[in-house]
Amino acid sequence: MNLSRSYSKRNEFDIALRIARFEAQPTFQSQIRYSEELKTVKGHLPIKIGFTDFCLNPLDVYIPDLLHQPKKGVFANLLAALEQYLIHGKLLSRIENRMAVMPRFAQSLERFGISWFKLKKVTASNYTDMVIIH
Amino acid sequence: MAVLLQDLPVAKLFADFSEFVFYAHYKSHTQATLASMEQKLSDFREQVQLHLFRFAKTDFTTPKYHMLQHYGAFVRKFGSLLNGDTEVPERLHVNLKAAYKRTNKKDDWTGQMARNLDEIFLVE
Repeated sequence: MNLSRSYSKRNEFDIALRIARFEAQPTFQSQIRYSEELKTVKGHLPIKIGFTDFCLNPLDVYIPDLLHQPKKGVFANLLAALEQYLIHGKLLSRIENRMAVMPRFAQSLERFGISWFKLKKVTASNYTDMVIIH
Repeated sequence: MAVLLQDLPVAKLFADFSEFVFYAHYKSHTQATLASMEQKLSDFREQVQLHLFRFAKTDFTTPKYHMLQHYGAFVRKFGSLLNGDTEVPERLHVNLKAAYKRTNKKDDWTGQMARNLDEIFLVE
């Protein structure tokens, strides 16, 4: 299955065209026949939209979960780099003291008793609280 | 975060990053919001190059860091990024993990999990 090849050929217009053609079929039997024809296209997977089976490229249909990435992926690297930056500038203890005394001023905001750099396991909600993203 | 680091030059970096994520969480976008989101990202990347690049272990070449520049294109193609967010259904992972612990982890563990969850839902 060569997804990249099919992705370059197919686009949103193709999807809309297929759905329109499917709905334009006069009978239920011909709709089934049309969806069976679509299944023979190389690189396409059966996907259910509503109660109808289509055979589409998943890269055209599904949205990746992008909002998790800045929290878990990018902010973890930023925090590690910040620790090295603070150690280099001899500012670590000063900032850690500030982190420890930060008050809990919102209902969902967690209060961190210890330094953020010493946390063993940091979840996505912890990162949210650190950057105060809601 | 920017408040904690207010007297340091890296404060602007974290402020730009948090504003970028705020923009990414918008329910609907205009061309103006998308432009300001991309502007915040470019400011953030400049600040990273200036201050944090030499202290980072990963050199900021990870796929997740790279993907930030495609957020605008994704919003233009698919709509708001909240449509693809999996934060709410991820909460249900806890129930499945707890059910897996109660299986013998050998034969037909999926069936055991299903029966276990059914019993729990009936009791509740």
